[in-house]
Amino acid sequence: MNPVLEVIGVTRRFGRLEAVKDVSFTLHPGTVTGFIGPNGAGKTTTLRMCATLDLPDEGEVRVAGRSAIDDPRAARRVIGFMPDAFGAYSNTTVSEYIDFYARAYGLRGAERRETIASVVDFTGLGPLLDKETGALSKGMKQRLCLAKTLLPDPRVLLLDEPTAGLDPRARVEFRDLVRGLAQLGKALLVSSHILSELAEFCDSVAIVERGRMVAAGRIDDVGGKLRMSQKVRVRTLVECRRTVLFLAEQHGVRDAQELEGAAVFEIDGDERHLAELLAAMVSAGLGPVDFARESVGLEDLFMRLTGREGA
Amino acid sequence: MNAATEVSTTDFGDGWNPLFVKELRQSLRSRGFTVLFVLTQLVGAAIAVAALLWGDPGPDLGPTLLTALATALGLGIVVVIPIFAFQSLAQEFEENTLDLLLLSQLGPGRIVLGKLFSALSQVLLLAISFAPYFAICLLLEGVDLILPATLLVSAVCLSAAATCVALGLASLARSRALRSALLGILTLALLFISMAMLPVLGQLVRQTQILRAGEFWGTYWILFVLLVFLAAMALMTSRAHLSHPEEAATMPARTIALIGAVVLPFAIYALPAARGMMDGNPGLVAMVALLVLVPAAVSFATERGSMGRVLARQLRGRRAYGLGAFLVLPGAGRGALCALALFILVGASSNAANAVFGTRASSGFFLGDSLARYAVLASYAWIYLVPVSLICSLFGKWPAWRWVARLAYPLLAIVSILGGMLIGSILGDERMSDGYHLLNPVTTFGEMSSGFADRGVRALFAIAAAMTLFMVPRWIMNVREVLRATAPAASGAARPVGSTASMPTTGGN
Repeated sequence: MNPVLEVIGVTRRFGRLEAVKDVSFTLHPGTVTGFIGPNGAGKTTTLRMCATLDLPDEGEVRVAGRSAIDDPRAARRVIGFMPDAFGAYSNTTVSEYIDFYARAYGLRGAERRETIASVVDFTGLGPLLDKETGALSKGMKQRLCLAKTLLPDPRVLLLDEPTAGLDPRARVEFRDLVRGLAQLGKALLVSSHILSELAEFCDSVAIVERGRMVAAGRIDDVGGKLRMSQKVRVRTLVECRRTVLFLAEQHGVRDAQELEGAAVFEIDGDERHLAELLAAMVSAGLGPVDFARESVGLEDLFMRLTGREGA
Repeated sequence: MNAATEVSTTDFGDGWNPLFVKELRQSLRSRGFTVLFVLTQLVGAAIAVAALLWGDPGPDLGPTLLTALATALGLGIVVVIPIFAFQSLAQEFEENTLDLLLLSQLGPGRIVLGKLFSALSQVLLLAISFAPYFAICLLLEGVDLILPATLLVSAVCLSAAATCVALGLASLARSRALRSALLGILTLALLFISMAMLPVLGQLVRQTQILRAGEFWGTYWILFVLLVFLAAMALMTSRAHLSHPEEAATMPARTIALIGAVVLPFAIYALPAARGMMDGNPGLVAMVALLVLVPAAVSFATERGSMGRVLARQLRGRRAYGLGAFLVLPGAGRGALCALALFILVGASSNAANAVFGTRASSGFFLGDSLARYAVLASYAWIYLVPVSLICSLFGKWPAWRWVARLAYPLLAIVSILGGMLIGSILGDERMSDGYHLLNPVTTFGEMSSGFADRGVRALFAIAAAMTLFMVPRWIMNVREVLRATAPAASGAARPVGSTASMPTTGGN
């Protein structure tokens, strides 16, 4: 599947400060990518360049195969950007707000009415249509901005800290909306530094620190490339203690222990090592019946990566 | 309401600028406009009632009532509405909503125009609401239809120009501190203009025969043209600021340029006037300020080292957006061209007024004989922008140099203009002390063309000479910038997108 957004070696300087340095990643349809980094890492600057709101000093941003720098108007038809903070217009109802943006996106007549109806339905803003935008809660404002962003039916959604300041219920609801959008085939780039939250709905991550890309890819792949230890849970036909003793003697295996009737251990190395270990267990007559990797924690990954960079 | 009616109602605004509709709806519901509307109505009614009940019934009652009503309306539409427009655009920065607008299919031009037309609609609403009071004046002695109509049209035109300037200023106001400062400057300037118009208003109302003089309409035409150009330049500047995010980075330079552009003409005027070398006329100072301010604002708004890169990318994409083709002449070149166009159009409109009304517009109602002298002085200011732009381009890699170059602009102009005039004054050369000396490039080229008999050819020669000597280096710089910026882009374009495989990628296939 062709990528819908390609960021290629993008650099952005503000005077002497290099806010973003040689950042590259791609987004594919139907995926949710977490854009992770501490405050001041260059996330918003990168998102703004992707959204054509800022120009990179070097590098290229391609949206649906076309340069967003050379043809920002074409890119804007494909990209939807939701900034981290925005104000609602005074003396304007939710209905008027959405109608205004629908017209601003060039939607006319029946098409506009149908699009508004579907977006309002998707974001659950129906009961709030007559309410003034200024009176909305933070969570509802986020929904309103998402509704506005969805009006032109963008293929790429760039969400900058969308859950910042939301209460737990609003976060769960927003997470469901994001999942729903990915199922519709949209590519989402969600910036946040609340990692536990991103881990729940992201397929991939792009981690930046001090303007530089530290890692990007599927969460497990990034962990694998880093040769991070993986936690494995295994159940065998033999006694669990025997399995633990066997594992403890194997190369690369650490912290083997019995836990809730299964042997749990950490192993350094990639999938090939795991396959070799499994084969060894079969050869040893342990009869493994359940062999499961526990996925790499996003927080562990982030701390490991940024810690390594900082070292 | 049946379905068909509902559809036709909701689709009614499809062809309209959505921002205009939104802004008008918002502003008409706002407390600010409601207060303004009610207040002006109350004041208008109070003035009319007071004049009719307690006014001395005589030939002066009509003109007095008209003056009071025009002042009340003028303060509302020339001072308050432009301030509302300023705040409307400034609030887009404050609330972080401008980005959302720019990402829609509304271009920067439609954003600015939407806000302008919304303000003009409010102006028209206020003006129309005052029609009954003006009608009362018509019933009184000493007021005919032309006078209130002229005053209304003038006030609306002035308000429109002031609103454009307010939008131009608001587009600079990206920080809260600057926003407050600019709002303060705008308010003071609008109050000053309104107060300055009062004596003119009084003179017009009491000497209505002026309205029948061709000389008046000649001058009126010139001022109208100037207002149109001031408004157009302000809108263009505003649009440029919204088009290019990079413009925001030049904000300090623009601020200094604007202050310099205002201070410079006053300096030009005040020093010789203090030494008794010139006769004073505050209206001319405003004229010089306008002629200097506009090009300087346009110039410094767009002068930036990375503009070449923006231009190159636009050319590479075979698509001109934002300032579009106008970027071919960046920085001071643009400012100088604007000034040049302004001069030519002022001159052309003067000539047109002379032809139509049989007058000599340059010695018209408001401007006096020394317009040409001030125009010469103003010409210095913008002509010095060009070498400064060149220096900025040459030393653009070192920001300190760019600052020196920018600061050198007012210094160069002041030293050159006043120096030449002082020398002329000391030598007792009246022509030189008036500004026609060798340090003035326009004069120099004018002298070069003096061999030609035809005035038109001489004027063209002067313009061509100035353009050739001052613009060509700038164009060469532009070409160099474009070539430099395009070269790496061309090699970059040859790189297949698939080469990103060497980079970390996200997303699953």
